Amino acid sequence: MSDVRIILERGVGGATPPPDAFERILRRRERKQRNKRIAAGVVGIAVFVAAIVAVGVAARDSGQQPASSGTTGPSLAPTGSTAPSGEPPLAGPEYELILDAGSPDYVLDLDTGAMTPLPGAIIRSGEYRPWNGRYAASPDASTLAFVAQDDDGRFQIFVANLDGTEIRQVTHDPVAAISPAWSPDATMIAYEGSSGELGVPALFVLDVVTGETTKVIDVSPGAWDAAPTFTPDGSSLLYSDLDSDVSVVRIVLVAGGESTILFGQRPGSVGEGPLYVGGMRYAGNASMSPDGSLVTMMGDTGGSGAFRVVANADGSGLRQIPGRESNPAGAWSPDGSRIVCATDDGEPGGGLKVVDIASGQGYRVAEGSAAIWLDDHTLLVEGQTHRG
Amino acid sequence: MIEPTSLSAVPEVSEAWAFEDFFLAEHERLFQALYLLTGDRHEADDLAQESLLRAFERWDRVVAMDSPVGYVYRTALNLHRSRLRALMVRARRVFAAIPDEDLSGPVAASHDVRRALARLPRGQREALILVEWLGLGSEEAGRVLGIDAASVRGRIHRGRASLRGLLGDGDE
Repeated sequence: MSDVRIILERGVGGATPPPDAFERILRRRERKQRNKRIAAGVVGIAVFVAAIVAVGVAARDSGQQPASSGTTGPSLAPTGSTAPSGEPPLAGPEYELILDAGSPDYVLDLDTGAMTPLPGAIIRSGEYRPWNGRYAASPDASTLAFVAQDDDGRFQIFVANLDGTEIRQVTHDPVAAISPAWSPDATMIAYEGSSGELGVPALFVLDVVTGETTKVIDVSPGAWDAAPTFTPDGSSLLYSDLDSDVSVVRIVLVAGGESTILFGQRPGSVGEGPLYVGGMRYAGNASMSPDGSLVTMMGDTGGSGAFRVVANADGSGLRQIPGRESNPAGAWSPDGSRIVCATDDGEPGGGLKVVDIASGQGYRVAEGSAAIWLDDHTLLVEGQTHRG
Repeated sequence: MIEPTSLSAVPEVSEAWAFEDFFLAEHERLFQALYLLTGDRHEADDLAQESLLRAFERWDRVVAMDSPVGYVYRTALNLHRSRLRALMVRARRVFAAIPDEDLSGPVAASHDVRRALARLPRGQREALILVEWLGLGSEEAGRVLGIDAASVRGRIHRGRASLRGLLGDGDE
């Protein structure tokens, strides 16, 4: 027996798997099959619900009060007053999700509470979800980029119409491709993939028309999900990186080159200027408002623990707002007035909340793990999932 | 003897039994390999469960492959690599302090080895575990890792030296 084998045996330390492992595999398989049947059933019910809601909305818009929907399937139970149609509510209703764990992803109308599950063709093998979220919608919300597992079990980027048609795989990364984000002109998708023989993380941009992929920059090995997003002019990527084991937000030209720290602790011996760039000791999960004037991120200003903040793009005006992690690819409403993110730790019910940037007020909108905006009144929500 | 109620029930039962034989032969080795790779018992169990489940779901194709074992290990490694980018626990670690672990006695030696393994480049760590622990040859390990046999041998050579150096084991 080799000495390395002896060393590895020491490392295992006699560890053995749980005795009921085979039975658990059989139960896991049954659960997967059951969830697929539930998802298929929900899609059918949702078509019926969507039709009822459409009739109700049409009646309301013509001045009539909608009758009770009488829905028999998944629905929302608004617990507060409903804001006037077209106005973003500051203290809107809290929707209590009735779908159970393992529910599919869905489109949520914030004004009516209507939930429409995504087509089953898009919801694929989503048990293990990327940290920030699976989805990114094109600027006109007609096309979804999303993360799903290919036949070899690797995460890859796919695109599809919102109605589930024309699904195609657009990356073939040897390790994993995650965190898609559309360019403002919808010609490119940025994502995090792998580079080189050892598969170190790197940022790439994909030309949606030609399918050509170009590496932009390596990300520090061990970096927490880089989650690249385009600046509003499409020239640069904002992303999270690790610098000497500290999370920072960096910016780099799409054309490549050196990156610059926008927020987070700069190595003390490098460069001039403040040690805490943008006033942040560490920062991540950042995204820029559609007009480029504001940035929101998670971070710490110096020893008080991580929280969500918003600041001017130049780092001035830093202030704390409610909420925690978001999907940077779709955190901002198109009109730039609100963000959607996870609720604060310990907040009753958990899930997702919408935060009005001007007032700093937030309200819970759904149970789920992540969400993006499709328009100023509509979210695409990733339903809560549980690992088997 | 209880006769099956229909012929259609027989293939599924036979399929489960054949997979169970494979499971009994490979599960413990796979679990221990993933424990060395991840350093986390629960993560190793979860990865082993999921990769074996995927093999079970495709058993008619997997059993016909040259190396069903290689397929399972490749699936487990792919899942593990994907999770390195995506796990919520890892993200939280950036923002939250990790409490000091209280290690003593026999646990310390095992922990030291896993910490040393964690400091190796991922490619060396994977190659070492596939070859030294699971006993795969360079060719088969190369197929699992998606590299050629010569690259496997190079990683093994560097990994052995690094591991010995980290642990201060100079013996051969």
